[in-house]
Amino acid sequence: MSETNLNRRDFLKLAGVSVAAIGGLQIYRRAEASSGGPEGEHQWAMVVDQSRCTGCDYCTLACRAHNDINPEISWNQVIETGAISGKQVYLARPCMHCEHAPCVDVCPVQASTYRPDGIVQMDYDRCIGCRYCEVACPYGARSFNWEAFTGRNPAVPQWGQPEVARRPRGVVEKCSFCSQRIDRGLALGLTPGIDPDATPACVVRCPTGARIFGDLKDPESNVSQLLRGHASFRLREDLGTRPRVYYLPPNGSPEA
Amino acid sequence: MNKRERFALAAVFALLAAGVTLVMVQAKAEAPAPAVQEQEPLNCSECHQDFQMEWASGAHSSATNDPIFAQAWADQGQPGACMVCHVTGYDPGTGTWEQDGVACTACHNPVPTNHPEEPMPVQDTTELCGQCHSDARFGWQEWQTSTHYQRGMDCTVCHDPHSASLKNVEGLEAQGPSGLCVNCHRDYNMDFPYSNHAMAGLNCVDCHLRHFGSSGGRTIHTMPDHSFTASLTSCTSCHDREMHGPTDAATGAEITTQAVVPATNGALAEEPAPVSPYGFAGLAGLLGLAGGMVLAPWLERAYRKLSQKEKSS
Repeated sequence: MSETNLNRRDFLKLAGVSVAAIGGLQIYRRAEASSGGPEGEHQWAMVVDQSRCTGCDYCTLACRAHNDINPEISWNQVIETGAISGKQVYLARPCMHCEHAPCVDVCPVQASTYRPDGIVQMDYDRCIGCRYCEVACPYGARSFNWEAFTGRNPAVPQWGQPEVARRPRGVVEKCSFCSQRIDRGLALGLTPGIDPDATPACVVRCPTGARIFGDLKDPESNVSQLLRGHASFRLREDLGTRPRVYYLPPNGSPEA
Repeated sequence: MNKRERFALAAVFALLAAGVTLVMVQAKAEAPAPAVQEQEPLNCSECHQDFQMEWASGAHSSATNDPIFAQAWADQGQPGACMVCHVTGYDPGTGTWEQDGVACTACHNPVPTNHPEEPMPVQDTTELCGQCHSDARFGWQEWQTSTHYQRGMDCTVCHDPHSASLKNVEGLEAQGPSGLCVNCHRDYNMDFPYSNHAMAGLNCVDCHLRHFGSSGGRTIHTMPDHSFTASLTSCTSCHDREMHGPTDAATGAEITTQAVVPATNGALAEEPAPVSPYGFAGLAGLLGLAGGMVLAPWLERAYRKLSQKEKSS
């Protein structure tokens, strides 16, 4: 009988230590998480100045090269939207990286997730190709990869150097705000939106400076300043998706 | 040992296994990226074959061995000054150089030791090209008067630095160099095709990018007039008999920007971890539970033996 008593005491000791250890670990984990997010250190956003956009499509081409995209599909589109006082207006449309992204809501396998910096990120290893997200996206920002992209990318090398792996067949692709460039740049101590090596390729390549990228959390960043000083709008604000791509409306200037 | 104790022991094993797994998974997640390796001497084309081929096809690669240049250089007594631009890595002290032609490191310099983690540097600016192309022979002054330059556009908007030729935009190749003009100046492309000039086979560059002092044939170092203004000469070269006197072109107004309304930024949903550490821990816990159930009788026997030894001693 005394043996079983001892056994029980030992058991309680062991159990106590184990529970304390795991409990401690959880507290540590939680402390770590709160330092990085849910809302991270940066909140990336893009501003597209429609009065400067000439519809040249350099952004799409740079995107194709840097993200090694199948020429059949496009992560970025420049759409003709009509004319204001005789001047054609263009709508450059990357992924909006919504704060309340319908694509993230509908994904059954959590292949679309929010990064702490606001980027809506695709995990191509998790994607099962159900295409719910493609249907849910009100902006048409997602494309399905019907065929594995093999062979030469016609946008390389003239428009840039591929920086990410090609996606397999049967997944849904979309713009990543060039997160590979942002992450690499931050690791090297660069500032996205200022240093070209840390800024999305479309923003760097735009010849007229119609695209501006930066951190909404930094009140002095170029995007924060622009949005403070100008009227801006976002696409389909009525849907409550809260996109992170802001547009400065065209002003009808006669200059092309 | 009764059933309850056996379960309890198994539970201890399960907790331990789960705890250890959780720690291990976390340690793995936090493991730092592998250290950057030192690079071997430069061999750019190993990874950048596309760029290498593009470069080899263009004037930058043949800057040293171009027959017109080689002839002119020899005729002038092989002056070192030419080599500052016509080779890569020229050392004026010894008169030697690293590589023929205007090669990678002429613009991508200095090479970071941890490339490709750190990208090759390049100043994508007019000034970088201007280190060689700013001579009056290239029309540098005219370029600086252009609206393109004054609005901060750089050479690489139209020129591909690797092939050292014009960029081409898909679908507009048929218009030649003017395809690049109308790619941005789309509004002009709406009207121009119906003009008499277009009917006569003229295009943007015929008036807006005329070559200096040449009537068609190009000689060494001649460049088109990069001010992009159609000069009087543009008109008189065809209409000399119809002209009455000099005229002047109107200039456009600067783009102004508009005002108001601050934008706000709202809260974020939490990001789910790709594979939760709890998943791993749970699995390990189950394994531990099973292991504990199996090991419990053996442990009891071992404990008895130990306590008997203690009693006997």
